Amino acid sequence: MWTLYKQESFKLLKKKSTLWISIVLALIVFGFALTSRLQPKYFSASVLFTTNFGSTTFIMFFLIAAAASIVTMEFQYGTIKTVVSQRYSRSMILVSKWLVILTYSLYLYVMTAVLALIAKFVFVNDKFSLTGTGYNNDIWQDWLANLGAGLLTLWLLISLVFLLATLFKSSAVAISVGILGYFVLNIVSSVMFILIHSHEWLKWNPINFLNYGSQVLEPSLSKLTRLSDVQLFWGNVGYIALFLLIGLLLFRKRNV
Amino acid sequence: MAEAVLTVKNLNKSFGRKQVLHKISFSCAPGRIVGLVGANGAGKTTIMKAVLSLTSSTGEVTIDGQKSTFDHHPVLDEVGALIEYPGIYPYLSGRDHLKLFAMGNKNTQDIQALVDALNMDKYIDTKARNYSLGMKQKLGIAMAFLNNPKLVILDEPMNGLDPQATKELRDLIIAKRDEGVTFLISSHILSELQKLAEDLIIIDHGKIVQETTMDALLESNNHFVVVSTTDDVKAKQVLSETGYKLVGDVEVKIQTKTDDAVADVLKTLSDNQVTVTDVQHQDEDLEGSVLKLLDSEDQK
Repeated sequence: MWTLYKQESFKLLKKKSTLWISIVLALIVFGFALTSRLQPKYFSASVLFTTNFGSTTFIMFFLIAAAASIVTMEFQYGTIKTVVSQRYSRSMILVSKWLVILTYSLYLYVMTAVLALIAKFVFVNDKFSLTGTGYNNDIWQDWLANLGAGLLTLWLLISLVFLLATLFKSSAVAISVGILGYFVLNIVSSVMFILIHSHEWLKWNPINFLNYGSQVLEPSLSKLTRLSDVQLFWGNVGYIALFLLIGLLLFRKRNV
Repeated sequence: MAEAVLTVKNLNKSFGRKQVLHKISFSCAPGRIVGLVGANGAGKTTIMKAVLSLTSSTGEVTIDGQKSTFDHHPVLDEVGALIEYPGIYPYLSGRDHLKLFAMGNKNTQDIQALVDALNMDKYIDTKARNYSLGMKQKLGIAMAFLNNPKLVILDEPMNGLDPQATKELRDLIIAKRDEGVTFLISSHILSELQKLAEDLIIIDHGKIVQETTMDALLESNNHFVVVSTTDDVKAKQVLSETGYKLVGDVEVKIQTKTDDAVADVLKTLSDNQVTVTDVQHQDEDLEGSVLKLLDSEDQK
């Protein structure tokens, strides 16, 4: 398993895009921090800070693409034959890919968090204090809660992307569905909330659980989602496990 | 005989309703080069994929004494393979590919030895995206030879290789065979396979039609003697009257059973005042035998 993990990491690290993504995210963090310094009227430094200066949305796009391609590229390049004809089972191969993307997602979150702290002290130190009041708690608490919840809902999308990537040989489909899923949430959420209002059971649909990050900051959102923070947390965990498991079962049977 | 490195028993495989492999059973003895021969779509690649757990099948595959299944195949550690076309990550260099799949500590030397053997030094450190078909093929072959496998499975290994590279590959295969490595090779370039394979498995429509050795198959072939004379018309007449079987219309081509028939042919001609200016032996090659065999199978 360790060998597979090393192989997957090697492939990811050798991609030029991996380096560029780190650079682009750093530029985004510093760019937004600087913007919030120059245009405080339109960009609230403390609000932007809770999302690592806007970088978490970009991390989501990059990770959806990374998760889709880590599976589908093997089929696209024909390298899956070499990967599968090693000693390892298909399950171990897929799990190693999950773990590498998990590591990658943690790395991107931690990296942008560190950069966000640096950017805060360098550009907007006078605009807010980490111990100042944010949405409900101290800003630093809101920041960590938002990052944690954001990472979890990101994994809800990623688990769905992994499932789709095992169904389709094309990374385009998996990436599109992942990114569309995110936009669909924003578009359909108002309609969904109306439907949940009339059909209570609809609150259990996976899209509703993507609201976890927002509800952590805005507890009043629970009136619309009809779920508590704890329910949202475990719902995310449950759906992630379910999607990953279905993907695993499909991948185990896959002929190459 | 030593225990077979690869044993396949009753392999069946269907795609939907269409059965593509029918009770395939064969074995590969250690240190032998086994040729898998058959028309396009006969099932060569599917057999190889089933052995490598790439595709599901029913039946039993045993490699080096250990059973290997679709879900559980640790013994594939001892197998190297190139199936269909080489799988290449375009953003990695050739050497990165070899590093990626190499196991153990000695791998830097082993990798360099392979690079040298296949003459890949000039481009091994450039990105595979820019490789030609032949370069990719060589890299795929090098990957199959990584980690000192006991069994190497090569599907159409000569694809895209120039004559020089074909010779390098042949030399490498023979050198590894001499070290005890077993090979299962499919190729539609039968003249190339004839230079390599010692044992043959001939398949048609997903069934094994013959399992034999190269020597035995060629032995059973037709032999011909072609003579050039000062008077071909008379020569043909004399020989056919004497009871020889002549083939072809243009040259004086006699089908013989053994090589010693040549002396009799020459004597007959000389007795009849026909002067012989040249004599050539012609043997049917692997291609001829295989085509004949597949033809007779089709007529069944």
